[in-house]
Amino acid sequence: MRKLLDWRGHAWLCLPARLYLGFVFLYACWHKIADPAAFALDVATYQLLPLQLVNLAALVLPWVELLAGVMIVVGFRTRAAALLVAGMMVVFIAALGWALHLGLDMSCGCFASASEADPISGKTLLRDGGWLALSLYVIIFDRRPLGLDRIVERTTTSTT
Amino acid sequence: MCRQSTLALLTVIGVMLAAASAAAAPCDRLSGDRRALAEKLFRATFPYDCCDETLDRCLKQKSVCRLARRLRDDICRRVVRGDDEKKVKAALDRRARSMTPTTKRAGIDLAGAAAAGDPKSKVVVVAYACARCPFCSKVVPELHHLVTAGGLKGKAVLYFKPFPISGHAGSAEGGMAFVAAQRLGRFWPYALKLYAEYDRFAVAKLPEWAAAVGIDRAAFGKELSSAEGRKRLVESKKEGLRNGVEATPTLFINGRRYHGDLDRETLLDVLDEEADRVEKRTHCEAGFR
Amino acid sequence: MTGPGEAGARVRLAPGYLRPAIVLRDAALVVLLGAGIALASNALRPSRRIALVASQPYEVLVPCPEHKGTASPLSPAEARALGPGDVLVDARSAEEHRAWHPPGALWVPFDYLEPVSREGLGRVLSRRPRRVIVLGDGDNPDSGEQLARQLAGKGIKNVFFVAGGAPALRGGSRGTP
Repeated sequence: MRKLLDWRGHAWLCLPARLYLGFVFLYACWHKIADPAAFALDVATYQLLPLQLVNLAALVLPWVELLAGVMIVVGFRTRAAALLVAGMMVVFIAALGWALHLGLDMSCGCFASASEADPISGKTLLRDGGWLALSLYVIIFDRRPLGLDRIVERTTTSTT
Repeated sequence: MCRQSTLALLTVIGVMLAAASAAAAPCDRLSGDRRALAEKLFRATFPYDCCDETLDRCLKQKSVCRLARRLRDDICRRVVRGDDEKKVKAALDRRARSMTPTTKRAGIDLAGAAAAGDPKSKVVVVAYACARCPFCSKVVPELHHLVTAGGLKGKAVLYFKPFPISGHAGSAEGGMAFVAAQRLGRFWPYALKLYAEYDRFAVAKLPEWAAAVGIDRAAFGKELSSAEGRKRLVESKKEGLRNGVEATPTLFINGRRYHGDLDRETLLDVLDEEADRVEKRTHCEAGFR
Repeated sequence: MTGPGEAGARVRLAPGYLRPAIVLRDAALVVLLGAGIALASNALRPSRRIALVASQPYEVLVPCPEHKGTASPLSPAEARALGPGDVLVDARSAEEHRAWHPPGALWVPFDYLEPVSREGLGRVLSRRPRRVIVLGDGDNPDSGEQLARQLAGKGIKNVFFVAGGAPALRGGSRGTP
């Protein structure tokens, strides 16, 4: 197990995973930052959070997505960023599962939420699960993430 | 002894005053730029009936007509809620379109339809609804309550016409169940039961719910798959399409399609206005508030 | 600096930013930073601002639409002059289709209660149509228009329906049934 964890290749395998996850999140957070009212309506549609928390969640979540996305792409505190990504995926999967359980079929057009173009289904759940797995891979196996941290580390150790 | 009864009397008066002030006009709750917005809207709105001037001028007349007061309260309610100018104007526009009398009334066949509320009422509300539409599951029971026990009791009568939306799973079976309950004479208890169990819907449960509201299970099962029932359901949907129904729930008030909001307060206000117009003819007279 | 043996590949000490406690701390800091930026950007954007706590419940539900697509009518004259890539779909019942239908018309019957079947949809798409023209019974409502809108709602582009349906298309002279 130790040998598997120490394999240097992980950093290289994790790189595309990190870039993929990072860009997924950067792409996703954009419209939520651009139109917080619409995203707040989306959050309310899931009927998961109490009304008082909906707006706060709708405001804060997209920015955390943005920051985590940038960090994981650039390689700054990669593990923390991957942890945030994994945490958010857990939340999304839980919300999705809850909505499917409630029978909230948003593609039927009965909801004011504009996310009808992207109906939720078992496929979405699988996709999110895949992203969760990728982020867990990065957290556990990426011991020396390529990127900003490594560059900084190299320059500081080379000066000593 | 005397002091106690005086205290009791004062308490009663105090409670009544408090209740009266709580029911006071929503416009009194406005201040600052919300108030300015409301007044701007008063200057920009023309009541669709009863008064030819802008709303603010109508409100300044010596005897203010009921409709002007209703529109004033409607605007204030929406501004209190936080709607912006565009939204309020759009809502008023939809209200006007719904309440302006038209010569062409929608052709709605109510033979065999069960009435909720007093059938002799002059305000006839027809709701086209789908068994698997979440909005219908809120609006239809709300309307039923209003006409049987709420603010519209004795003033309006509600009829239901099934309009199954093709895309909804179970909508056809739900529609057949509505028709079956109608033909077996226990429509409204069944419809309310179906909507109450909205989140737990299953086609297999339809006969169970029939039994729960006192319908003979065997007869219901037969009706559920009858050709005549299907024909009726298709006829109801076709009639809706002819009358311009594009989504459910769609309401028709005395043959006019309703475009306004479907929340309880707006429906109560609009149907009350219609009652004033057709029953008491006090639509344009001075209201007491 | 490499040590002897297999331990050589291992870094002496995990860099600070990889240790679990630090990772958790960093993650928490990012969330706080995100919250700060969110609140600041909300305050600085008057046009897109939302209240921190919603005062009214959100109106999540809207009336459920019957049709998600639109289809334009074609006059009977235009419908008689179809070109390559145009697929004519007959939405009427089996008997009506058997009694008469334009040559080459695909039979995809329309049902008011059931959406168009996957198989029917597949048959239309397998022809790779440039335009789909639906022929109905010409009634009010016209089953052709209804099916056309349903097909458009399923994502098919360039869907039309014949105004007046089959009776209009056949014209004045109706042959013996």
